[in-house]
Amino acid sequence: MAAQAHIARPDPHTASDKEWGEYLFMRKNPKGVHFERWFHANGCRKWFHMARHTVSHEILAIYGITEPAPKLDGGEGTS
Amino acid sequence: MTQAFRNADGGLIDRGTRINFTYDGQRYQGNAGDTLASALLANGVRLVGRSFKYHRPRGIVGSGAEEPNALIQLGEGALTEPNTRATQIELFEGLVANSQNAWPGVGFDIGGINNIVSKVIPAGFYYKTFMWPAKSWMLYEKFIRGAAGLGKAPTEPDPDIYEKRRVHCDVLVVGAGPAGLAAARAAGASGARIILADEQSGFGGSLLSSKATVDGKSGAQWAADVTQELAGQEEVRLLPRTTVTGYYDHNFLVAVERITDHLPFADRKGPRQRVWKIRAKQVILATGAIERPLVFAENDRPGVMLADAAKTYVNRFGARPGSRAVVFTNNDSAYRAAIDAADGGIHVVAIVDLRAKPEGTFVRQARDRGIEVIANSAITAVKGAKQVSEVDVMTLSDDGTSVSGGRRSLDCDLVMMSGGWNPTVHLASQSGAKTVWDDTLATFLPGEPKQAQRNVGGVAGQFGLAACLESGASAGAGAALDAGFDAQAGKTPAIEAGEGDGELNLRPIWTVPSDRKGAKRFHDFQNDVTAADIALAHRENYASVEHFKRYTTTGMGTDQGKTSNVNGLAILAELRNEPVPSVGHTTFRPFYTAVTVGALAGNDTGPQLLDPVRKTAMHTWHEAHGAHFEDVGAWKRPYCYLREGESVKQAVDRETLATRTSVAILDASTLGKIDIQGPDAAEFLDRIYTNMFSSLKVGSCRYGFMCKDDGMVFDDGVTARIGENRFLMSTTTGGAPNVLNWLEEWLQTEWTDLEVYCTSVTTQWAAIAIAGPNSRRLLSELTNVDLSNDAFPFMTWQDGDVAGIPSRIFRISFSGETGFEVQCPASYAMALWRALMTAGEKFNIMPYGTEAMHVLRAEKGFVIVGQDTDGTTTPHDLGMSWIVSKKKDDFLGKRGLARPDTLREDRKQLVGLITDDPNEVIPEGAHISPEPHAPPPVPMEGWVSSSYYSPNCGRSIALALIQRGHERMGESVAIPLEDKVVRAKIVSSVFFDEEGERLRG
Ligand SMILES: [Zn+2]
Repeated sequence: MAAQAHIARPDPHTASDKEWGEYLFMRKNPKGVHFERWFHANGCRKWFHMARHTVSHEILAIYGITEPAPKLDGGEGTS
Repeated sequence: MTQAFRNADGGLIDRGTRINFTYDGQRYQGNAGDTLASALLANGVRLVGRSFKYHRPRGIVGSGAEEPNALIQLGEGALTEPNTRATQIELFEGLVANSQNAWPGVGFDIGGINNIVSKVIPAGFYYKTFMWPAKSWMLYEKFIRGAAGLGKAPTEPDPDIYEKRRVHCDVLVVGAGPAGLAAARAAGASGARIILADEQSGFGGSLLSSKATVDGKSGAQWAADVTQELAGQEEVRLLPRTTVTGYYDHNFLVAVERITDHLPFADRKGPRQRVWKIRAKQVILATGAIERPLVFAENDRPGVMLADAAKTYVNRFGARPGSRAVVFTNNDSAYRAAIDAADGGIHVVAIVDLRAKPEGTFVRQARDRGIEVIANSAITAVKGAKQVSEVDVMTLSDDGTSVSGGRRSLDCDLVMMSGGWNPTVHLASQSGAKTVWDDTLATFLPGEPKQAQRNVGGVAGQFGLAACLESGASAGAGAALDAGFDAQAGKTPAIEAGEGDGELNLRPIWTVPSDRKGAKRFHDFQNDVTAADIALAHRENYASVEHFKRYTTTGMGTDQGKTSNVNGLAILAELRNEPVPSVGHTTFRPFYTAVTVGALAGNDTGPQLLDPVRKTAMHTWHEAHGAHFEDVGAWKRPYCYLREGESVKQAVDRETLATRTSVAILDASTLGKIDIQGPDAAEFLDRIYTNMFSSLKVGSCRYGFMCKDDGMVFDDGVTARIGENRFLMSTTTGGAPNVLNWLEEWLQTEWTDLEVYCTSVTTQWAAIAIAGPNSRRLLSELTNVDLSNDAFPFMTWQDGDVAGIPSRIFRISFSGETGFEVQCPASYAMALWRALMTAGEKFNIMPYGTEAMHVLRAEKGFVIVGQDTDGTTTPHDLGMSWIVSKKKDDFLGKRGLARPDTLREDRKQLVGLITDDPNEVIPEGAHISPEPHAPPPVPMEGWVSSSYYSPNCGRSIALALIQRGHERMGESVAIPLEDKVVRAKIVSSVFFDEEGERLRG
């Protein structure tokens, strides 16, 4: 189970419809480094972060689910 | 029949072991070591198939995986396998093979009429004809399918067994030719764990069909000795008859081993094929190269063969593919083939060379032997219908685009062609390395490796034996070193002078000119595509390589264009006036050769293994009492219990009526159950559910809705408060795993401040629903718990013994009747079930199944998430706004429910439907249309989500999601079906006991 990571849930009381829509539906599909959330569903049930290159499928970093993205060549680091 | 074209000696076949086989109903003999192709050639069989589109007669072109023509329907009945290549089928006693795509046989073929009318089937014919309108496809389908069908799939179940194995290794070597063997030897000497795989039965690759000597012995002997040496090493695994079919991420490769396909049927034991899933630290690709045809006039006549294939048949199998050969080439390698053919008893009439001044070791040797070399010339016509009988040769212009001068005819029955070599870059390309164009070799080479991978030998464009052995040994040592072992390349074996010369001195002429207008020049034999078709695609602007491929169908046959792709691309590049690399090539997708589906399934066949079955604790009771099961998720649930002579509908009606009349019990064990604990459990549930749970008292339960953050209903169920900090959540049967994942997601990623723990207890607790007016009387006979309405009100729970079994009793109901649900440890559930059935005899108790449950809940208008919702349905759409808290500051879905789209007034809303004809049960999923007679696409305004015959209402009932449904009560709507239009009235979704008196009574 993988999906784009580091999407902050906006404050539901102040977020505009557009902001909420972007939070719900808009996802990146980069050719290159992608920061993703993964879930070990049939194992330890842990969510974790992975930086993965979508072309080479190289795994560039694994880090905790509450940790910010590391700085990597070819991809932006966000938190 | 005698093997008239078999040499008395030479080659690797065993002349002492005769093998009987049948081809197209005719019996033949071959020898041990033969392929079907070599045995057919030895018997003088030249015509082996008809072409795909024009049904032109075709012969064997290659000697391996590249073969485009000699496609075989192998075996009979359930064991039959289509589209196998005669060149790769090892002969075995009793083999039965049939040619394909020809009826009644290759010799006389009705479809051959296509050849005469070929002008009406140009490239793009399929493309244009079948795009639109659909009617054209209907018109042509029968004709095309009949004529164009390749092999036939078996219609019976596959009786063979297959298996899968996973394995790790330090170095995987793909291909056991000279380079691969040298690599495996160097790597193996280090003690590293090696796998060496090759698609052929024996290791040696090109050495098996070469006269070169290595270390003073024949190439085949050297290969056998090295194989022997490797077999003796503990960490080396040799996989002959194994095709590495795909190269994936992280050096993961898949290979298919054919274990018993080469054996007579009586000797076949154990699995037929085995799929290897290999994770390699280092990979060495020694996949070799495939010779490329020349694209010249009538080059598809039977008897026109790749030069190296002819050499292979002569050298390895002692089989002569012809008696009088003309060699046609643009490079040096065909000269060696010509010399070997001459040595093998074939009269080489002449070598026609497209180059102006051919020189080089083998050219000289050929001339020295007295073989005539006709330089700067081209074959301009090939004559003979079912076999080559003559070729015409003319002089080539300097630029290679036209021919002139006198026409010289050469009498021959074999044309050995060579247009150069295409490295087998498939796996390298799949590994992520971009191919690079090499101008000297005029072909694609593997690019810079993207994974821990090396290329050696032919695939790396090395065609000299010395270079292959050297690069193999060096790569083997390098890979072992990189895998952490101490390795050395060792000494390169000695080879004869001249053998090291792998130079081709190639002159690419992609389309060989001819003076014959309209003569077909095929570049793709299997799919019948010609240079003219490429020109047509180009003219019609299908110039992108992906469009060109689909338009002309180049490379789309079962051979996946192994001989045709580069020629096709190069011809297209010429037309576009661009270099080949800027045209590019299509993707080299797995699998390299076709893989039978059974091999991929492996052991995971049969209903038990393909999809594991979950059974409740009462399953054997259900089985013994006529249960008609249905699958719900992975669970087997009784749909109904059939009595002798009863139909399914009768059983469902009986169970439905019994529940409302007296008492009935349901095995509800499959409902998901999640134990939720922690100091923040109540706060957590307030955020997860749309309604409030923190206000729930210990001892009570509440029905809740979960939405995704977009406001769409995701799951539902009753959750009980077990303690201040403990809840037992129930979920839908199918949704249980997703709900648990959902809870974990929010706890771990967003609400890390909450201390809550979630555990699935679905299988720990069995559950039995007891429903009906007599449910209280029944249960009170088995428990001391006071079940009266005052002591045990609706939507509460209590612990207590039932039939002596420690249980938890819930006062809940999904049927709308007075009801209880008893949960007990699963190991006690059968005893509890039996106790209820026994005690219930005096009430005429019945078990009821899921369908009666569905009818009962539909009578009450209770929704089933996933049936009456589709992921775009909100609680408001379901008419259940009461379940959405207005007090809570936030919950998942709250903001989503306030989005403009979610507030739209024309949303589909859940309503009841009653048909004008009370006996008409609308099919579930049927559309509701405001204009049922409009031409397609018919406009629609909703759909029927649930539909049953309700015995309690004495008529059919349905639930539907329909636009603005809530404000359209009483309106008549139309439901167009295949053969009629059904009319129904919109009504409330509650059909029975609207006040809910039975529920609370
Ligand atoms: Zn884990």
